[in-house]
Amino acid sequence: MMHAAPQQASTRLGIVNLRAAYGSITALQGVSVSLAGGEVVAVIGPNGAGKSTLLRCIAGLEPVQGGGIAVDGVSIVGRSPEQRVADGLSLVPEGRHIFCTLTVAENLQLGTTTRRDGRAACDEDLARVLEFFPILSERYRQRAGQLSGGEQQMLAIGRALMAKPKLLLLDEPSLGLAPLVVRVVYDAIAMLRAAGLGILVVEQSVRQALRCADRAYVLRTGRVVREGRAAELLAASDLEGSYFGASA
Amino acid sequence: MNSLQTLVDAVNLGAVYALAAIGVGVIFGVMRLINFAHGELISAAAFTAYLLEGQPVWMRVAGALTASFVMALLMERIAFRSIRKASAATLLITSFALSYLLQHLIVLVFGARPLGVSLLPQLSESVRAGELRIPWLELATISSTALILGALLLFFHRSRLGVAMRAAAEDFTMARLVGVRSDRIIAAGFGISGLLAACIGLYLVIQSGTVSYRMGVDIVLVAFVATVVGGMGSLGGAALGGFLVGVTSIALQAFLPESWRPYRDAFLFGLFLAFLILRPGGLMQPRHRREWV
Repeated sequence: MMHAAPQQASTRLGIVNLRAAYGSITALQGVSVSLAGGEVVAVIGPNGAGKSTLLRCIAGLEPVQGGGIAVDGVSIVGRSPEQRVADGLSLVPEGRHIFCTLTVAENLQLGTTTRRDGRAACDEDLARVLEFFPILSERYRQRAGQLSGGEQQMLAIGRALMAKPKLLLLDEPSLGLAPLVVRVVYDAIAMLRAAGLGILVVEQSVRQALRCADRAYVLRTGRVVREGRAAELLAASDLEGSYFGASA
Repeated sequence: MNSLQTLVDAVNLGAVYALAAIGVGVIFGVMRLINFAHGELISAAAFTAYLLEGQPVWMRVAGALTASFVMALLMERIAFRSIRKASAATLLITSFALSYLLQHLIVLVFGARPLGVSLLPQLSESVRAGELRIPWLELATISSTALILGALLLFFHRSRLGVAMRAAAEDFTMARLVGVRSDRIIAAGFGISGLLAACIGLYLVIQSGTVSYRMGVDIVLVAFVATVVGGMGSLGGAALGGFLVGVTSIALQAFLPESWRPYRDAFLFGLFLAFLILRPGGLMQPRHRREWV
């Protein structure tokens, strides 16, 4: 079966004409998205637009009905979620889903499950993650369930980074967090981009996502209805009214 | 001194039930399956010890452990892997069907009547300390359970596989999203469950001196009650629940009026029913467990 080829040489994640459904309800109707290394791409849109479905399809949690998903030009369609982690994809799901009964250290250690580059390399990355999120260092031996919402989000991102991903998928990273914490999370995203990571962010908080992203796709009822540079979309006066209503 | 004797008996039965409950609980933790065919894993160990009669004790013990371990892995691979994503009811019914199938295979080969078997008969003798009489078997059971619990604790907290299993028990989908291989985790769960079942099988052989095709059934029912009382999905809860059921059972036996004692199990399960009405989640219900991302 033929799947998507990257649209440009630097494309790390290439999604072409992706279709998916929940039972009889079509969730994605031919979505195409590309993402390069060192780039932050936002996928925005109202509730039910198919944003989370898109991430779940990329992570391998939902079967696709057609179209292709490729990482560095190699199709990952049909691979299991755990194989996709080894392929370089790490998802930080909505609601964080840290392992509350495990310690912070154990959560971070689990992030290295698919790595085969030795303990020293993992320890180096652990030091980097703890430097990145110093609060995790302070809470290292505590149960993750005792962390605040913001700290849990940092742990979820830190755990994903421990897999040494090529691509980071973030589902609603600012949901339920205090504004100050949201800033910390987005500062972290900016730093990760500078480090060369490709990041796909799904957000309902439109302005926050667009301020941070290089490019963005607007999703509505399972289709890409608009795409372009994030700054241009942010400047578009009709954006909120057209796509999100007053709540954006 | 009589109450001290009761205490030792209670700890002994509590230890046995705790091992059985962990065996059932470890599968439930990673797969949400209540495996009633766990009883036949117990039988597999017991019948292996029976078949190897005349061989050195270490060989019979090793054979029993291997038989239950391999059978548990086969059970997972053949009966449960293909329906892993099915509803809890389908999984449960499959485990019942498997249990009956295996029981009747045993009947076909060995017959329905209990068979006599002798394994370490010296463990039936007792140590005397004043008025206290403690069978060696009870001492061996209590100490080996303590060792097994310690080993499990180390495994679940110190090994990568153990930590991954705890993570999977809490949030299976998220465990897959960090790269934990579901096949490996579930097979490990069944393997551990098989080894624990073998320990129970050996205990029952030594204690009763017989093997029969239904020998694992009653204890699995008790183990199931224990995991519910402890809190489904919590291994610590399963151990505690098992221990509590064992201790309560012996306490009722000791303290109920003589004429009520034949109805001990009715009191036992009635008590736990009342407990579950008051605390439906059990003693240590995991607060953070999630099914889906």
